[in-house]
Amino acid sequence: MNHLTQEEIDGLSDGSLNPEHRARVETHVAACARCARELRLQQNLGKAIAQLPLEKTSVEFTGRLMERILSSQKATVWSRLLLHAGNVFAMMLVLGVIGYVLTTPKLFVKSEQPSAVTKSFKPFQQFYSDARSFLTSRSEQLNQGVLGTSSPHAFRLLTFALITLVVLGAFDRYVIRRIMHLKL
Amino acid sequence: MENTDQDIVRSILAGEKRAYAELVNRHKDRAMTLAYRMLKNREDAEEALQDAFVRAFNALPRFECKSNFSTWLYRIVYNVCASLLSKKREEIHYSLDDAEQNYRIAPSSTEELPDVQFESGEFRQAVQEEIDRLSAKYSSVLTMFYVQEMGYEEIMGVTGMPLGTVKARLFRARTMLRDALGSRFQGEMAGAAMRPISLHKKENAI
Repeated sequence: MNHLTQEEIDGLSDGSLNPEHRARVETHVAACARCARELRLQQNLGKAIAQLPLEKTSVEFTGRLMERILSSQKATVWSRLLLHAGNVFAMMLVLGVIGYVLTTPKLFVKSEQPSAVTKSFKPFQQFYSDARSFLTSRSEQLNQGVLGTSSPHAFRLLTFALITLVVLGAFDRYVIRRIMHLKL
Repeated sequence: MENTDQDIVRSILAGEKRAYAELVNRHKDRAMTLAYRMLKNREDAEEALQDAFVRAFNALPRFECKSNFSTWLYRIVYNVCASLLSKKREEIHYSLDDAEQNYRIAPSSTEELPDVQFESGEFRQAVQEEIDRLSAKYSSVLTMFYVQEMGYEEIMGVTGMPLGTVKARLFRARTMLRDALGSRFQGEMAGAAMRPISLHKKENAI
């Protein structure tokens, strides 16, 4: 007599056989003492394994885990804030230096024919000149206790500052961090 | 009525991060059993489990609430432990020889153990010790099948192994366990009664 395969014994004990196959296997088990015994052995062994006590974690496991998770969340929020503050500061520093250089006439040697570089800086120079004159007039107004209405200078300054921030932010996000593989 | 795992996941994703403790408490012992059976060391298992739970927490936004949380969690636990084991150079992943064999019961000359012996404390202790001696690739499958009560499909999902390998490993694990228990209990169990045979002979069954 051919006996059951292990797959059939497994299938019978875990109920994964189709009804027809199951019926054939059950008929065989009913007639074959050795296969019936193997099936019973497997079922008993399985029951013994399932009834073994579970391994316990230490008492402080969940507390330690939650502390780790919540503190890392907090650290992430702070590190993000710090990073953004750092970015804003760096952008302001860059803008300030560029503005100072462009609007300080003594730093440039005047020539009759402006070079290509000087020409390309012209729009920036214009923006920063506007910004400087706006801030100067504003501070004078404040010193005199007079609050004026908004001027075209203010609008141009704000627009330029916003565009610069967006460009620098995008450069930081898509170029610098990608190069440095920063995961924030 | 008790919240389901999916309900808790939704509340965590809505900002109630402390609710994760409840999920951890629900699953930690079964997950610890899997980690311990794979790593064979309590401290390593607990550390691996901490890492696995942290990873699971960070990956919660990607968890699909339709699926089973425990199976998803065990996959992470299994991968963390497998990665630790691979650092220790223990082979855990799929190997061809696992899948290429099928097995048939061979004639047994041993007598049947009385059922009552399976209930004894001595027998359970022996089973526990012999499972601890099995290598991770066998004890993990055995644990998932009997302790986590996973079906073949779920074990395939957790381990990434094909069905044939899962079945073959389960068979080998049982056989090794029976061999070991058989020699402990003076050959009373049919530990040596099962022999691997070629897949081609399977059609002679019944």
